[in-house]
Amino acid sequence: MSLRSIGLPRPRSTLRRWTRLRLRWGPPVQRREFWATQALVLVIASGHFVLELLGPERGLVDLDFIPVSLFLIPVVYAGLNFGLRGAGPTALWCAVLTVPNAVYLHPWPDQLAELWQAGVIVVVGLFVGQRIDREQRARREADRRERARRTSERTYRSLFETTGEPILLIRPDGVIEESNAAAAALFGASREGLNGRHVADLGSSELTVALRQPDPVRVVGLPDRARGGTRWVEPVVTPFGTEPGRIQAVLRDVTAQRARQQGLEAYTLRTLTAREEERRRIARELHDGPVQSLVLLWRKLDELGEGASSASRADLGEARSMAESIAHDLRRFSRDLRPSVLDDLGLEPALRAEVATFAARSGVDARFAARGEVRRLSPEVELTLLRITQEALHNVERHAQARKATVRLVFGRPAVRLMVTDDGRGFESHRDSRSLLEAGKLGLVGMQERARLANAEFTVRSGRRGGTCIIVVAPDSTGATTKH
Amino acid sequence: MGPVDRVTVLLAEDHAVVREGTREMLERDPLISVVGEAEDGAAAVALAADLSPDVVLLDLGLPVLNGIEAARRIRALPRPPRVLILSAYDDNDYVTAAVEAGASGYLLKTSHMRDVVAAIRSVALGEVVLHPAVAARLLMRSRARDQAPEMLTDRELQVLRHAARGARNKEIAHLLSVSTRTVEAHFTSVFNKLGVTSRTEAILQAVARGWLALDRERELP
Repeated sequence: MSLRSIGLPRPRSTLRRWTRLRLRWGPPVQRREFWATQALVLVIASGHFVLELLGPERGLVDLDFIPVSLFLIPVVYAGLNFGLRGAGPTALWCAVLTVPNAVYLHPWPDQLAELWQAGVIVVVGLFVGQRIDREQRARREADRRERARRTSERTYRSLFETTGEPILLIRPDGVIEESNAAAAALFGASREGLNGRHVADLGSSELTVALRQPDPVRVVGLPDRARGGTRWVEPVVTPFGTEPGRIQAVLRDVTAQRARQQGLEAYTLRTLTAREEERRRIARELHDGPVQSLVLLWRKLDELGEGASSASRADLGEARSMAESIAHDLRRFSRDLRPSVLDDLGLEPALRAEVATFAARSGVDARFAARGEVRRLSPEVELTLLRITQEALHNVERHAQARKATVRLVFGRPAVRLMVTDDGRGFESHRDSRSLLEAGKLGLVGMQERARLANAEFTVRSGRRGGTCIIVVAPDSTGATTKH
Repeated sequence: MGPVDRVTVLLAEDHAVVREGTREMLERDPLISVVGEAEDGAAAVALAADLSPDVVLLDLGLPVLNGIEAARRIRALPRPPRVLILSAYDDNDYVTAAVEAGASGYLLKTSHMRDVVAAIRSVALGEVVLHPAVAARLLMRSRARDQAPEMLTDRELQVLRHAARGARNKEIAHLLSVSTRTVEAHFTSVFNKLGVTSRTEAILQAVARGWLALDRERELP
């Protein structure tokens, strides 16, 4: 029958709790030294008792203060050994053993003096024990910290040694203090050869600059001594230790990512170029085929009209205007695919026409302005800027709810700047492509990529209030080659 | 060139069937003689130099060298023929670019051949010719800026007419027996009245309004 079933408290758990409390705060009863100390107290008390009992007859009275102060020995000993949990009970034990002595052997007010002495011993015991406890706690804490520090240092050390990422610890004066095996392999030197060298002697001024001005997106090319070619690293610089200027540089190897990205870029560029070529071809064919056939049709109709009656001439005129509207539509399709104005006359008239068409179509008050020395640019740059403008105006029409839009083209030397602004509702501004992508701004990502492929800088600024502003700064080296 | 002489024409058009048709129709006119045909811009420039025709009838959408560039090079020849554009594009930018390149006329391919023949003759005589639809577009653009431009004075029209034939300020000054500065002053006044910023635009606006054609009778030899 279990105890719980008849509603009694659970003695086992109470016992366990009590045991735990006793072990933590109670006297260290399982230690032999503790009991030896208590025995010493008993011996001193007995000695004191005997001394005083026999004292007056044997002329030893004057020594009775000595045994009381002897109590300090076990009390302090217990305190030093066990802290408060040793010193406290020992002092109390001393006080208890003083009581019969005081009661039986001393007259009033000597009794008070005896008890006073006992009180002092208790206070000393508590004080010493408490101090020792505090000291021990502090020492334990320091030990724990030291162990943790050593563990973390060991962990760091092992990471540092075994990681595949090259790491350099660099002193404020630019001298390499420590390097790992990966760093040694990267620079084709032994670690001993690398440590103590100045970063400027590593053979890459780019790297020196990158280490001095930490910039997380900078990628630095280093000659690959082992396999030839170039290793691309991205230095990630963090302060190291407490000394200002002492840094840890992790040279993250991004050669593979770079190669992959370049592959992607080349693929994107080829896809884009192929699409543009296709559009140009279709636009051209629309113009060369059907439109020219319509020209022949008009002439035929005109010829038929020469000798016709006025009634049939009216019908022929109608047929002629139908053919004209077909030609007009074909012209529009062709222009939408690829404006011939861009190829024949250049970016400035192409943008002017684009903005005018946009204003008529969307009802947005759109303006175009060109400044600087208007001139022809490389075909890639002209096409890129036109496509970005088209995409930007498309966004203005679809998302911005804008009333006004401005397209500005500034022909500087050597850069050309395109700005498309609107007064619409804008969106939260984002710094890099990833967050543009996360924000679902695929159109903007596309513009950014297009700009990058033409070596142009792309910036977009937008706020919930101030509309959106897209800025593209394109280099104008006529016949500039696009990135491959 | 006297009025009894036949006008010699060089055809530049890349579409063979259209070119053939055009040639056939032009040759029906007793006063026009087609002396050459080119199917791309570069050939047009070369033939214009070899044959020195009176007029080059030029398509804009030519391969190798586009019509605008071909017109510019033809007008830079030592004895430049007049250039008449016959294009499928009605964009103002093309018209402006063509006139800037030195073309004396701009017709659309929708034009009746009768009008093409008439334009060839006018251009040969030094007139500036614009297709009515093109003229209307040009006026539409200017009307947005200025509702009713002031009429030009006779002197200003004279200056503009000479400019339309490709004369420089110095030549105009000589022809009208005035100083170059006076000619410049006339241009400034014309620009202000028409709300334009260049000679080409001024000429186009005046042609579009029919001001330059008004005096045609008086100008004919």
